[in-house]
Amino acid sequence: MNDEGKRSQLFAVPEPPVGMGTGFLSDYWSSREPLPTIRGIEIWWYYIQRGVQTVLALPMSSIITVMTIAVSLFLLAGFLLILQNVGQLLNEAGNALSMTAYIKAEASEKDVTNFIRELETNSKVRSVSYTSKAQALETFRKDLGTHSSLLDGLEQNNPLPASVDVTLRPEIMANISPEEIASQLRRVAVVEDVVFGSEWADKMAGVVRIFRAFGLLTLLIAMAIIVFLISNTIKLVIYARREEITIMKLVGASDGFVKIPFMIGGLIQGLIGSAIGLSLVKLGALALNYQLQGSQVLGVTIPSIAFLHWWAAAGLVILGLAVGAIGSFFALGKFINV
Amino acid sequence: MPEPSREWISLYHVDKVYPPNQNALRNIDVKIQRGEFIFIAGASGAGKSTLLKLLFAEERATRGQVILLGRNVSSIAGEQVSGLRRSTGVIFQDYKLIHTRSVLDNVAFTLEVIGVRKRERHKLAYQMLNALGLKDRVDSLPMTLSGGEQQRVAIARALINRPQLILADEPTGNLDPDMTVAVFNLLLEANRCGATVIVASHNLSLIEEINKRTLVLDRGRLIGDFSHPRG
Ligand SMILES: Nc1ncnc2c1ncn2[C@@H]1O[C@H](COP(=O)(O)OP(=O)(O)OP(=O)(O)O)[C@@H](O)[C@H]1O
Ligand SMILES: [Mg+2]
Repeated sequence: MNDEGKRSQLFAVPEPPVGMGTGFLSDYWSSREPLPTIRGIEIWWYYIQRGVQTVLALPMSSIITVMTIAVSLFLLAGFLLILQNVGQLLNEAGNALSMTAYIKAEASEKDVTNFIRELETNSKVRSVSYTSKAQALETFRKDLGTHSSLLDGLEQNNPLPASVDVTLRPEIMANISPEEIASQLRRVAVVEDVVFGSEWADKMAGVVRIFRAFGLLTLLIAMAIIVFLISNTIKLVIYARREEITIMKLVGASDGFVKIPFMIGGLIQGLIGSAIGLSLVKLGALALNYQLQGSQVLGVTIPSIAFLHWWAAAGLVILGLAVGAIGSFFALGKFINV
Repeated sequence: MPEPSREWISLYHVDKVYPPNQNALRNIDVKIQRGEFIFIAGASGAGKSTLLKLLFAEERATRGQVILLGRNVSSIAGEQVSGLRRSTGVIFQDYKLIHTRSVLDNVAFTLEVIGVRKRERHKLAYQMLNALGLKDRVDSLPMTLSGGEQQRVAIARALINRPQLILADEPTGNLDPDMTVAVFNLLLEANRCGATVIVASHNLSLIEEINKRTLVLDRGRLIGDFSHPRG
């Protein structure tokens, strides 16, 4: 058939249309020479380049991921910073945490001595100092200064009670309130009454107790939320690229070839995010220090806010890195099985 | 001494059921020799693409065995799957180009996954694209290309790795007659160079023209195996 002849001619003719360089194909194909490949350290350099590309490819998503990590670590670091500084503040405030037990006038000297000895051996007590009736009067006299003559003649019938000043150890405040200690002291026979320093110390101690009690829990919950948020953000990024990942796998890319760049991308985002988060905390601490400079709370000078211990800061950076990489790893698992 | 088996691909009683109960292939038995050029013909929905997908483990057989070079494709996993795909050039019916990469990078990608140096893979990709008349579009993104141009990019990507097995799913569905001839010349040339080529197509006149072994599928069943359809 005429038609058939034309067709078979079409395929028999080696002359290629449309600029087809078919000669290239047979030359290339028949030379089974291996192609030059990258090896060793170059492979990692290649992966790092692609890791950077995964971050740059979807800039908005990357910014969101970095910001999520930054904000999360900012909150976490801020929380740690507060814990660390409140602990320190309390240590110093503890010096002021003292109470005065007034001794009954009829108490025998022996009972008073026993009471003091008991206090001195008590583990909650840091120091004890006794003020006799005479000393109390003397102090009073000094306080009155030029008006001290008012007290003349009181030596014989001194109305001022003897007292014991008790300074408590600051550590115990986390577990027991000053009020409880005071009422324990009131129950002692020789004690007339107990007066303790400031209300704020009590409140502070209460705050610290709550902090300590819920601190670990809060920390754990916060971290769980952070990991969830970050792996979700990364999941969205990878979801946006699922088609690309599928195609890569279909043309023979291994799991590692697909995963490693995303994990490096996660590491990069974690590093940038935690650096930003920590810098914000540092800035915040500096600003607060500037504001609070020299100010006092009920007689205690607020110590300048210390930045996180280096190991806490390093731990947070590692957490950021880990969360970035692990988030990527888990987010990938779903789409990589083609 | 008996001639060693030259069987390249064997399918034994292969069924493919897509969930929940779409029977795409039923009881397929086929043997394919190394170096053959084969058409798979059949109406739309006959199971041509499914059959090709079984050969590079995009889909797994529901029953039966798919043996490729003595290896049961249905039971390999991980690195073995990647290895199989690297020695197979697939021209996908829907092209499957990476939309975020340039045409040149798309073609070079099959070389990239095996670690070929950038300069070398770009040179080869350029030559391959040139051979397919696309040298002016190398820096474009696939989305900006016409259907036929995208199809040629997919063809270039499939051939660039000198695969031992080429699976072409309707490779000229979007091409004009001249380009169709050009592409088949390339596939025939790859075949002459030693590649086993399997082409799924419902273009019967084309199949008849080229006159190679043809498997005919009908609703998932293999109803014909003609070594030379023209006679
Ligand atoms: N992922 C899937 N899930 C469910 N059913 C599918 C899936 N892929 C294919 N099928 C069904 O399997 C049957 C065979 O599909 P297949 O894609 O192999 O046909 P085909 O011969 O390639 O058709 P065409 O010529 O239109 O490409 C069809 O009935 C199709 O609807
Ligand atoms: Mg199909």
